[in-house]
Amino acid sequence: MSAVRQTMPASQPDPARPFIALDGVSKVFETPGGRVTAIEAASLGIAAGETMALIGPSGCGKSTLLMMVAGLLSPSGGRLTIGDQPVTAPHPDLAVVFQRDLLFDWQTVLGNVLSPFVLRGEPVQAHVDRARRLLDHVGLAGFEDRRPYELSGGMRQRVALCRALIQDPSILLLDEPFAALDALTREQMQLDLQRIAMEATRTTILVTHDIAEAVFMADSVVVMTARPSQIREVIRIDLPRPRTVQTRNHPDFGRHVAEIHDLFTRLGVLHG
Amino acid sequence: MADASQGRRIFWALASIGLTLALWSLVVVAVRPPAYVLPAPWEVLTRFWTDRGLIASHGLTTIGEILAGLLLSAVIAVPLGIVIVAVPVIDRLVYPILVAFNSIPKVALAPLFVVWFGYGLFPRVLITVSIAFFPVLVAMVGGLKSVDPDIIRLTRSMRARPLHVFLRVRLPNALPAAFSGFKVATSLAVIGAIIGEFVASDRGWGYLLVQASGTLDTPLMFAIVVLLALVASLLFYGVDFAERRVISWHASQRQL
Ligand SMILES: Nc1ncnc2c1ncn2[C@@H]1O[C@H](COP(=O)(O)OP(=O)(O)OP(=O)(O)O)[C@@H](O)[C@H]1O
Ligand SMILES: [Mg+2]
Repeated sequence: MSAVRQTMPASQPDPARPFIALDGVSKVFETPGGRVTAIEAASLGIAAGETMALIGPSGCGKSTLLMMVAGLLSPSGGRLTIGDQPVTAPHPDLAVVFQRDLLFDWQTVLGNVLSPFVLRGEPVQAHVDRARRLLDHVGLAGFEDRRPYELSGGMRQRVALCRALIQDPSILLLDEPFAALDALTREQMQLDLQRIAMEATRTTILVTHDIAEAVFMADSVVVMTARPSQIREVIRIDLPRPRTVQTRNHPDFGRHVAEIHDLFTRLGVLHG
Repeated sequence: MADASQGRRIFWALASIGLTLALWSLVVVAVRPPAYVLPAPWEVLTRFWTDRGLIASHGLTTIGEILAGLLLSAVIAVPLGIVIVAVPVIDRLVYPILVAFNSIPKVALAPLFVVWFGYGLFPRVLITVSIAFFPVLVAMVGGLKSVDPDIIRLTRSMRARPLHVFLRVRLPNALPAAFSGFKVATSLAVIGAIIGEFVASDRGWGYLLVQASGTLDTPLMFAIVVLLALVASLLFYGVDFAERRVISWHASQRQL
């Protein structure tokens, strides 16, 4: 199948190939301490508009995989395409929320949210209202003129999320964006984000440690393990959309959470 | 809160000066050294008052050299640092020359500058700059280069323009280091001005020191040394004050 694909001109869309496609993608880091295999032959397909969750223990290569899709790390082997084009640089319509918030210390909260336009040399005036609305929406109204050091970890992470969302990207890559939030704020953000992901055809990859979050947010959950760093299973989640506070009471919700839980137990990630 | 901590800082500064004066007075009273070895604080103070005209007029020269040297150091080092980081070829070509130049003891250059430029203000400012500009340059280059690689990745994901990344990310990121470098430069500029006056001047506090040494006028020497310390401290705190204003967002400025 891949041989057939390679004979086709790159620009011609291949109907069989998913929007974001990984074939045997691997990543090896050469470090002074030796070679570290962060990803061993990952194969995945993500349809346009789909939300995919990556879940797995610390160090299994989730961030590495995300950075490769973002075009910020080049794979050591295999084939990685977005819309049939090999990924060599960040896709022009993509935004990333990194695992660390990476706010600009010298900018205000509002300045941080507007920074994508400033850094592209575009006028920001047209985006100020939307920036304020986004901040308001994540519960940061009134903090527009503060500096990042005045915020808590969870507040900082929400600013980073606004900075990605304001770009209105068709591909949204999120590396544990809710890790620093309290349970209630986290649930609200999950609700909001799945709505934001739905309202336009937004293809979303969400890295998380939280099984319930993965099931709640995603159309498919990718279960990864460390040593060897591999994709073990891709689980379809067919819970109805939009997902609401009631979704957690849906019988399939609990079933999927239990299923992934059991899988980690079988894989030896969890043991009792 | 800020006022209280400011008050506390001033209190401790005065306390440490008071302690120094007390110890100094104690030694003078207990050991009774001859005045040309160790004058008493009050003798220095008297001397300072009687010769105030002389000290002030020479001081103007020295302070002028220090300020001109510092200003020129910044004006040379900041753009040079930017060019070195922005253009890798210049980095590779110019940086080794600058390192080699910096390893020359600048005092050794002073007599050479006299041959080239005579006894005017210019060679003295030149010596000051040659000593003071290097820490500013090194700090500037270091600050511009040491941006978190993840921040650079972030700007790539935003499809930021290199020019804007330089102006909006690298430059503000370099400010804390630049201020540290400039603080070091303030004390070096004082050293530079005095060396310049030792070798190439008939004016300034450095010149007065040489004269006073020739006549064993130790109280005058002490008066000048104290003034030099005062000028250097004021410069340092001046930069410190500006730093607090400009980079209030930086970790170094935060209260624990
Ligand atoms: N730049 C790098 N150089 C060397 N090794 C790296 C580098 N980045 C990641 N690794 C290694 O690759 C492996 C996967 O790292 P990665 O950050 O992708 O894990 P992760 O699944 O995101 O973990 P976590 O959940 O803790 O964030 C780890 O063993 C890590 O040590
Ligand atoms: Mg990670």
